[in-house]
Amino acid sequence: MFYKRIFIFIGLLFCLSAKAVEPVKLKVAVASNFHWVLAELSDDFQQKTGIELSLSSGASGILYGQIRQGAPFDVFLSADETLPVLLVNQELAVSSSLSTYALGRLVLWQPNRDVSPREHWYNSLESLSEQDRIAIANPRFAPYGQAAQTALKPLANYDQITDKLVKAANVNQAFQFVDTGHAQLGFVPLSLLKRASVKFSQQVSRYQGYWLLPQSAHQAIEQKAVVVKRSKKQAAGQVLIDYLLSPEVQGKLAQMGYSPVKLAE
Amino acid sequence: MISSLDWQALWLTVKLALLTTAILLVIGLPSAWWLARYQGRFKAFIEALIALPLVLPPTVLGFYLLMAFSPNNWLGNTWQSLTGQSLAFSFSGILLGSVIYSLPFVLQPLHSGFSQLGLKYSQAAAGLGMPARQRFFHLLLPLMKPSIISAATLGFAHTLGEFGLVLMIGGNLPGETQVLSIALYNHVEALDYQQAHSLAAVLIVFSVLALTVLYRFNRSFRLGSV
Repeated sequence: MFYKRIFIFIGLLFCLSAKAVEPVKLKVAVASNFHWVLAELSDDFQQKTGIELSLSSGASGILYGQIRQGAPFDVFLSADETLPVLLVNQELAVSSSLSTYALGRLVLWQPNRDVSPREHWYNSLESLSEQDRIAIANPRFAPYGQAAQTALKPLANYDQITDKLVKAANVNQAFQFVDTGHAQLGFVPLSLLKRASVKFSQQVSRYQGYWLLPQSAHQAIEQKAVVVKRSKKQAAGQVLIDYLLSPEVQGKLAQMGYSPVKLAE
Repeated sequence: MISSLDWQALWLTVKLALLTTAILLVIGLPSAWWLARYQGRFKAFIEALIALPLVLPPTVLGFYLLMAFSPNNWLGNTWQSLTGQSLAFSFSGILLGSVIYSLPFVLQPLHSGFSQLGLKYSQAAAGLGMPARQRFFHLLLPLMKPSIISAATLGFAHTLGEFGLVLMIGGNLPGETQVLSIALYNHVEALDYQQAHSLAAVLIVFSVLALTVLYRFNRSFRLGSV
């Protein structure tokens, strides 16, 4: 009697789980800076296409390593262009799917500061005190950190500034260093500040004291996406990439702190 | 192969592990002694507090240290006026973090050592008129030697492998906060797998050697003491 009940129960569980498998589920490896954006878009995406997204976020380099080792991801949304290209070169990704889905924008942020013109901000880098620190994502591997370094290089006091740089593991950490007051200034993605002003709307002014670096000040931060070759859902993966490139979504991205991608490539 | 920066990271890691262990032994011995004899109602609660760093992920611990020692609040302010630096991005900062992070690994063996020892030796010596200070230094410490060695070994080994906490509060400054695990992480992130492998090999060989020496030391003491 007891066992019979257990069998019925297990049978029911199987029925339930079989039902849940029905929609196509896409496993997406997404760079941490884009995770919240994709999470906000995923409902809309599912409504339009019937494809469900399951997101795994992390540092792009780590996700790249996991895909190389056979992690079961269908699509890879990187924070840079190098890693997806590497995957294509190693024949681990579908080369026709490779596309830039967003352009990152870099800002120099100082909490609670009034928005000011270009000269003013560079001046503020020259008049830092002994104790002051500037947070930056590690330029050795983080695209936003590399862009920040490029922007700093032309400055006359570049050497002094380098001594003040604190290299964070990723842009989120660079943000935390400034947000907690341990660093006075920081180079962070605009999208992160947009996110923070939505999340912490009571102190929105804190996240509006930034200077948007002109795109001419650094190399373009192209975030590229690619469909993983091993995936059995390549078509669905391409649907996601096409969706991200649609004018409607690109318009939304502009509000979230990215520059829209020019589609005529 | 292994760059001078990596050697610097190795030395920094060893320095951090040694200092952390030393500080924890100095704090841990008297407090474990006290806790072993304490029978009040808060005993279980205090033990739970000590075990807490085991439960919290190091990155989470690091994040809250960063919040707690923010120069925007009184704790961070006091720290800054006392040490002259911010807690983040300094060696003293990661040292403080390591002391908290490795605390249970040193305190638990000491506590159980004192508990097993019981009160009998101490009471006998007291009965013979030995003052408390002398009992602690000349009787309890020698009897506790095996526990002290395993506490030191665990604390040292645990700090060698510390990563998450330093990642959160360190700021990756070479020679100051860039410990071995962080250097390794940087290599992996930059796809310099070869350098990462070499560094990992150094870490493993060094740890096995250091631990072998410590355990051997521990065993020879036990045999010699019989």
